[in-house]
Amino acid sequence: MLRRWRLAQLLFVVTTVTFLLLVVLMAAVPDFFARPIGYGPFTLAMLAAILEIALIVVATGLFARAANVLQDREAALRREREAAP
Amino acid sequence: MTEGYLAPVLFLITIGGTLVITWWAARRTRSTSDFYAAGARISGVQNGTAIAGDFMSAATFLGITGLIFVSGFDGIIYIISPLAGLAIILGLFAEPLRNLGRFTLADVLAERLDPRPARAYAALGTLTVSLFYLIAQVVGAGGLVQVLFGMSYQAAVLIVGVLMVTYVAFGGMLATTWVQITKAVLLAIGVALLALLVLAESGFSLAALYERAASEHAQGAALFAPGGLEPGPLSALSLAVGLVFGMAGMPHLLIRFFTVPDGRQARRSVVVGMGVVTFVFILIFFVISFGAIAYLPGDPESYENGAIVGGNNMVAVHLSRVVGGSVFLGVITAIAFVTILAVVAGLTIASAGAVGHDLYAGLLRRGRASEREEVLVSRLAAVLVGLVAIALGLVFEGQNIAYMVALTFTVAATANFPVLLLALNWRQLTTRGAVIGGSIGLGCAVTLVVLSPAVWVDALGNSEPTLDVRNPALLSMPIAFVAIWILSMTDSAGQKVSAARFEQIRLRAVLGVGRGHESRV
Repeated sequence: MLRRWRLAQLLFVVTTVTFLLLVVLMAAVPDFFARPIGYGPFTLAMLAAILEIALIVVATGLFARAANVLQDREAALRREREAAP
Repeated sequence: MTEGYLAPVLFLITIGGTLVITWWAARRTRSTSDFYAAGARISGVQNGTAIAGDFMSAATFLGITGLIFVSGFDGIIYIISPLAGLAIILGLFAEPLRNLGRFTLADVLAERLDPRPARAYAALGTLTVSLFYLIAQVVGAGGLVQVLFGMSYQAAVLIVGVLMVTYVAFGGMLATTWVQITKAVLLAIGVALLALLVLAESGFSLAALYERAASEHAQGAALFAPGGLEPGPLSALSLAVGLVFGMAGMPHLLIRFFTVPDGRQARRSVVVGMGVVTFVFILIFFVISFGAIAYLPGDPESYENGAIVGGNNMVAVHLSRVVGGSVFLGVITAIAFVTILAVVAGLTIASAGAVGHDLYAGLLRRGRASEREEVLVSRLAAVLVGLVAIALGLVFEGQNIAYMVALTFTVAATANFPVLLLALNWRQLTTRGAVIGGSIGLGCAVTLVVLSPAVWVDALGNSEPTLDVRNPALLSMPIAFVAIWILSMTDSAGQKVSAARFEQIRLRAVLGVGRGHESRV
């Protein structure tokens, strides 16, 4: 159970790593991210920002849900053990 | 800036509303649990909204809008970093804090390490971060209220200081929580209305809005691309690291997890908080800021001698008048004022807890203080913190205090985050490693910020910086981790004790099994 918890935390931390990587890339190759993507002056940088925000929000929701499920299973297992003769 | 009777009326309604909340909360605040943690009866949704209110300061709303108004896309780093910081809090801290602590971060560290040095260290870290951030908030608030309501800077600082002390000293965490909830809801509604009005001006077309912004701004289409805010990838990375991990180490945010009854509600708090912050920030970045760029240049009232009236921090306020008239301007200024109050209240209660619970009850009285005595000392600490904030707010009038915000985040990322992370996850951390190693990190963070351009040149007036690193978190954080590691690994006697305690707390931290109710002293 604790190992699965740790994996969930690791997955979650990956979202932070992708953000920091994005920051570095945008500062290192700004011209690449300055490309327009065909909707007014909207650029690749704006799209990347939206995707990163979405990634963080979705990962947060998934992590919280997974943690609730893990906790409920652990509580059920504990009740079974206590009820067993 | 605001005209007629509307602003004073809204101003008084705002203050009156928060004082009613404080009166209601004061009747329900008796014990230490009530004062520090609102009796741990706050729901996840309420706490999440309060976290959003605790975090989003006037600098967040007005400052970020102003930054994007000048620099364009690069302001995105200030939008996404807090979200990443909240994610870190959810992944690493929310539930363990709720399961291990009672009222302060020191309670959490005291479960794992020797209580007395751990409490001293945690209290020092909390007070350093909270007081510097508080002074920056009060100075910023004084200037903002001065511009918004036309009163003197001194009166503005005094009003903000007296109100924040009143909320905390009388209403404790319950009043603070509900002021923060009120602020978050009002801010979300205000920002949503402002964004709606901006979109209405552009025919509900983002493309049209952005085309107009590009035509009005000196950068043109480059407004929507990165480049220029930070001199290179390492500097940008250091800024992001400081913001993300500093957010995850902010005491006034972390103590909010003691107000909910269990780990599930702690997690829900973060999800809800992130939802509110994301909603507000997306509207600020993608609509309001570019709306200011698009519509303010055509409004002569917003400018004086070629500069924005009141400074770039006022662009959102001017925009509210341009798209919504003087009535909406009055509403936004009132919301900006409540925004100030909510954050300073959170910082004050964090500081009061460090003084009353950690230093007085934990260290000085060694756990022998009665609840009544401890609450009284904490109330007095809130008054003292308020007086210090008012005094220093007056001293720093007109000065460039941006370095205080940089210092706050750097210290939180360097001194608080590593110790908390390792205490919860690393078996071999010892008290010596945490306290001395963490203190080395704290000293390093302060030294690097002082030597940076923000202090050495801008604040102290020297011609060149000793260290040309504007955001030193990328240097100071690894130094802290290395110091903590070396001092722990060379402390073989401490490791035996510490490893045993790690085994005792780890199930409780993650699953809430066997949670105790008394703090170790």
